[in-house]
Amino acid sequence: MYAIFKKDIHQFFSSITGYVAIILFLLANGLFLFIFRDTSLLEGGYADLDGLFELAPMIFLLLIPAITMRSLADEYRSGTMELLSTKPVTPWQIVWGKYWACLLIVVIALIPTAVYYLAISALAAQGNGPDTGSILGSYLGLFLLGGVFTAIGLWASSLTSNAVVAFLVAIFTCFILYNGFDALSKLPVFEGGADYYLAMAGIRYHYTSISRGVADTRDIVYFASIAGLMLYLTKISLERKIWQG
Amino acid sequence: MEITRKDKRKQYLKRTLGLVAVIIAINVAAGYFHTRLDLTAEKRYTLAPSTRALLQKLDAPVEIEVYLKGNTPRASGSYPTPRANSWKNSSNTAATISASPSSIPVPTSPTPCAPPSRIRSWPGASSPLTSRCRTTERTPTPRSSSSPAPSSGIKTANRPSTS
Repeated sequence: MYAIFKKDIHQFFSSITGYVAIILFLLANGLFLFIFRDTSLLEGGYADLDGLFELAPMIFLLLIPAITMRSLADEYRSGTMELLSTKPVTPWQIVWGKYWACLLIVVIALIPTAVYYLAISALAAQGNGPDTGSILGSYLGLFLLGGVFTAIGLWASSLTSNAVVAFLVAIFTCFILYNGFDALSKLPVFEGGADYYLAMAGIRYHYTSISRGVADTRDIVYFASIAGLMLYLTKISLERKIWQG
Repeated sequence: MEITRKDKRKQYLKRTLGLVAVIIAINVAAGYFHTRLDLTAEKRYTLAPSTRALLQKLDAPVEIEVYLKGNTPRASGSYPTPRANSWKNSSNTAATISASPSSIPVPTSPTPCAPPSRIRSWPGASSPLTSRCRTTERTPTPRSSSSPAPSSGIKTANRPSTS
């Protein structure tokens, strides 16, 4: 498992993909949060990073499928999956190795945003710095969200040998899970009862809850279970591809 | 005995459905047994002990109605927006007016779900506001179709006198 993890990390940083993904994430964040006036943190009037935590899921929605789209699809296409399947590794080990490699890229992209926190604390009025605990909670939510999106992207990548198809399927699935349930719950049909539970089935409900700075076990369990389910589906489709089950 | 592809597929489907059922069960169970850690500095999302003590003493549901006027800031986040049908039935009968959910300003301690137009609480409930934060939504005010801006259309016709 560790060998697969290492190989994937090397692949990311020996080609241009890893760098482009990280640079684009930071570039988009920097532009929206510090330069464009409508969404600027500096124009917001409050010393917090709410803008980042509203914007980042949208960027993740595009970025993470781009990171994960090749991880399994390329192995099918170039035939290296045949090679991998003859090695003494279980499908779980392949999935885990790939998953943590992709998640590490996401975390590496996330780390430099700590600069935003430092900038906001330096610019805040004396004694009115941003709420560190709340921001830590928000980062936890963003990490969990990245974990779920990575699992979805990996699953989409395991379905096909075409990376573009994997990318599109991943974006669509992430969007439905993140926004779809929330939008569905606002339909008048579900008013008064079902809407609450429908919203709770989506990611956005749990993300906003954890993003306030409240680490609730329910939200963490939800994120973990969605990621687990997607990884299980990945494993199944991997088995079926390799051994033609 | 040979295992056909169809059998295998069925087996996979069965296992997946089983896993989905287990996951739903875990999540429902997690809804009953949960703890929360409020990471904010001033414990913004936790009820103060004095509030809890006060709520314990209540013996009937409490209804809080908020009347607002003017341009109040839009609540941010995932708070529900006013229903689309609010300007469909722009009849001339303005019924009881209360603030539309979007125009309720976020108080110093926003509630987890939505700014409530009514807060129900009952004695015996351990933490009425945090564990169960479903609010009954009041219909927003009918507003003229020419100005669909959510915050500008609060009419004050028929408003109960506040004196």
